[in-house]
Amino acid sequence: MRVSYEWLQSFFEEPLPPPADVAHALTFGAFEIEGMEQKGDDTVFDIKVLPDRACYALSHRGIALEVAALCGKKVTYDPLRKERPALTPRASQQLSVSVEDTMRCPFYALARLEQIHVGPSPAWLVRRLEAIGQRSINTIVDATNYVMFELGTPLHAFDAKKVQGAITVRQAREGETITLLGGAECTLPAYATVIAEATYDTAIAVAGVKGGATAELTANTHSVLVEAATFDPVITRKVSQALGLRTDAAKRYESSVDEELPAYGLARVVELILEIAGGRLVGFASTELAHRARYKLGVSARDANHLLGTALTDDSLREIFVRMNVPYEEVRDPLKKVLELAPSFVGAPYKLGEKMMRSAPHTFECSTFTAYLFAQAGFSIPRVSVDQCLWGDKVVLESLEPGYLVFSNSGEGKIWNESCYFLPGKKVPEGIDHVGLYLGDGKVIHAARGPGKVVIEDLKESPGFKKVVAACRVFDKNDVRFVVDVPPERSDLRLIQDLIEEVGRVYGYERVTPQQLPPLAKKPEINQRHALTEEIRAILHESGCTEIFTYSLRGHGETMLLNALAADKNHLRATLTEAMQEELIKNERNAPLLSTGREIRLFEIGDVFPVSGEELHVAVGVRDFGKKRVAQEKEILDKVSAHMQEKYGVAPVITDSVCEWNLGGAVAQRTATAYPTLPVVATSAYYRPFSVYPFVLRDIALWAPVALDAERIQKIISEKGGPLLVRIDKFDEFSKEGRTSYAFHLVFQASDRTLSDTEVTALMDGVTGALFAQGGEPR
Amino acid sequence: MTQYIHPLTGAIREIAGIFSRMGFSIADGPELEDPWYNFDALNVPKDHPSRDMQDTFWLPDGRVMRTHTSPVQIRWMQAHPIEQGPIRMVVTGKCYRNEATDMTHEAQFYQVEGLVIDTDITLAHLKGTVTAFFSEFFGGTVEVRLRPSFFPFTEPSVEVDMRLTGESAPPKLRDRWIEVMGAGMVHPRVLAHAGIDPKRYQGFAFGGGIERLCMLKWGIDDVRLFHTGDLRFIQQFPAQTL
Repeated sequence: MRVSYEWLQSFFEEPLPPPADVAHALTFGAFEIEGMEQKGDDTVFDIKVLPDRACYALSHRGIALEVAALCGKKVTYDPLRKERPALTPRASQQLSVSVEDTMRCPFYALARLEQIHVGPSPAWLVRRLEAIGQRSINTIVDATNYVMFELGTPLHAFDAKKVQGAITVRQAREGETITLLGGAECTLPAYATVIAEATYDTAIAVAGVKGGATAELTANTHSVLVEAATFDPVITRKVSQALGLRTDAAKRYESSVDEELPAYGLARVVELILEIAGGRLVGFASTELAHRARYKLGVSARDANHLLGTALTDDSLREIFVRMNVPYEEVRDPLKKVLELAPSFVGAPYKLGEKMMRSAPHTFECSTFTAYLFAQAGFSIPRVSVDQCLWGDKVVLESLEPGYLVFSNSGEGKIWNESCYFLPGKKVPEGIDHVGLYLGDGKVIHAARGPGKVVIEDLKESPGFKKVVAACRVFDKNDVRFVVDVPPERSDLRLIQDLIEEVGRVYGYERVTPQQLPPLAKKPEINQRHALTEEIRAILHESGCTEIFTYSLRGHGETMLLNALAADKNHLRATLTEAMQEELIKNERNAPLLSTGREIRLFEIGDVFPVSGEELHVAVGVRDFGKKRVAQEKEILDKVSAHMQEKYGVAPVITDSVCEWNLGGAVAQRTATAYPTLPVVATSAYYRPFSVYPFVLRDIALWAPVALDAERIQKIISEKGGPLLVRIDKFDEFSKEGRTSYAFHLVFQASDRTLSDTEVTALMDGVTGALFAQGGEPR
Repeated sequence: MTQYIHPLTGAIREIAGIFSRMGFSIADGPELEDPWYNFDALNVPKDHPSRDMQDTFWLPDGRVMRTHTSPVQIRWMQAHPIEQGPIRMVVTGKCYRNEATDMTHEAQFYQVEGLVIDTDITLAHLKGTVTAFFSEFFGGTVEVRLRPSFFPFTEPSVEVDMRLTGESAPPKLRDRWIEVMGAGMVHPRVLAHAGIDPKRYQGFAFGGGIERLCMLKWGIDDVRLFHTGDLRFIQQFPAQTL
């Protein structure tokens, strides 16, 4: 996301550190900075906001809070930390909204404004939008965009005159079409959510994605409806993908815009419209926001240190949470807090099957009661009784202490014999359907089905605890806990690990001291596949073969990909042989450039994918250029085959100059107890790019006197050949009557062009001239 | 006769050696993978933006070409119950991403991935382990720094940067911070999916591209060279005499 430094400054009264320092702080404390650009007096950061933080950080406000925490500055303008705007006055009856399915749209609100002026935006607004790469359109559209980039809540404006009747949020009709802003017509997927006007039942927007052309604003628009809402992330994402509309709104909705946020966005945009476009607010219409308890997340210094390997204290945690500007409570005695809080809910109604966040503390069932109590003290325990039992440390029933959880198999509810969410598959043979909190003195408090409310009873007498099957301790260290009231926009904070990450990055990962792993009692296991492939590499290296790696994706095979990159890469290879043959031919062309010269011996080890399934194969390919080519190739392959047969009992599939073995069976039978010791790459090795231009091969043959030996000849050739002479290979030498005959291959190649014949001939003339001057004679 | 070692094999051999000496077992797993192992078990739910982070090749039967070596974490944890001892494993293997190729991107590449689980494994151990690995792999003095990041399968998640200092460091790498891998503390849901109690056990995981390590170590400028089979490339890597 593009973020303006000047815009960020607007959240602070005190001056921010220079842009480079802000970028540095963000890089090591929060986000990768993909770019920084000077725009007039402003600096624009390109910040990579990853999916976890998209819920709050796709906004200048979100980034400002990060800057505050990481640079130690105080945010002075933060609408989201104020009380949620009440959206009053209510608009008249003409403006009504209804939502068909609150799962699709948990909250929907409209503001109606009249006598507004749709025209050019003020310079400051245009500047800020343009800084982050947005085009200014008009006062109203700019205001909605501005607030989205300021607070992260998408907004949309309709021309009120073009909307007939009530607004309904509903699922798209089969084959429903809409003309979008910009004129494109599209057919909506049946799972899409649309905003429709009730009179003609026409879609006027694709919910959370893009507005329709029907109610587009024009210069003649004088009254508008501004929408702020929350839409289901998954549906929004699927629709936006299906329609190919990856809009700024969709990006925010798919990362979850909390249901409490639209009210802030709507109040803010109304304020801004009245400021820059005049007019008056008629009023708001909205759906009801369902009750929800605040998420509580607690951490102690011990917890944080246990995950991070740090030495944080309560003081360091306190400082970090203050810097983060999140509401938190320090619970000095969590056990006491749980025990004191519990009796205050006596009489609260029992209601089964509700979501804890939606029902507590108004109604409870047994496990939401205990989970809620511990959450207030900063312990996030699982929601379901059977999972609470697995989560805690088991204690014997005889040594119950206040604050322990007691579990029973009361037969009144569904008996759980297996973990529900916490440890999928984990069995609990005793079966659990009920939980309560032990208060001491034989008393238990629980949300009880029978009486239909939270009650304190004698554990021995309670019908819910006729058959107590287990008890556990939720925590063993009664440390000070920092219990954060998770702000609504921080839907990324749900687990203690999430909170510890916040602690760690604000504290600074550079302060984590590297530590070595402790020694292990057990020796590492030997991987038979690795051991076998290493052994085979040793054998093949011994036979003069060089290992290659080729592409697994090819133009044909037995298994096809659904979404290939290209037609020549749309299958998985079924053999290694095909690629091996291609590589032999390709390398043969370059043979004069290779140090292996006259013969090319290759092997590849890798997985192939015949219809029968994935298999580990090895292939060996041999190319020889001598007169006895076929015989020599056969000799090498026969030797390797015999070795493979003898050692691993595998026979090859032979195709021309290539043998291929399936190693699956060999791996399964191996019982190696160590890995072979094989060479690594020489420490002196360092890659030098090679030319992609054609090389020119010339031969030279001469009679040389004794004084002109091979070494001298090579030196002269090399000198006269110059930098374009990339390789000299002596391929013949014999002596007769006091003279020796030599023959060399000379390979010329340029790194930047194709060499011309005249160029090479001139160099060759220089070479032969110099050699003849030293007593050489042509042969 | 000179032996040549393909840089991928050379790097994998060194990686396996270094981690074996640190007590890591070597693991492997299929390249053609069940999406549950590749995504769901790793806390990458369907229809979640985090799935966009890895462009995937799909097969008509619903399987995927693994986009990372992380599914091997799950397979290893399932096969090695934590009650029988701490987990310390490393895997090197081929992975696939459905993305256009250029000098730094390939649709197929090798990853190295490590996993350490016990009762008291911390982020400090992660830092210590990767520092030890890079020091030995690149030779010389290595500093490691962590930057916050996001991977669905770790929490907290970090990017790992390293800096080589001292005379023995290759001149092109000396005194430069280089991004080398992603890492983090294993997400509790990943542990739970693999049958490990996340309240009692914790640990770290890390993963990175092996081609990238090779490119840094040997100054290779184009990732596509690794899978060409071209001896003009491979013959630049002679074997160290034992």
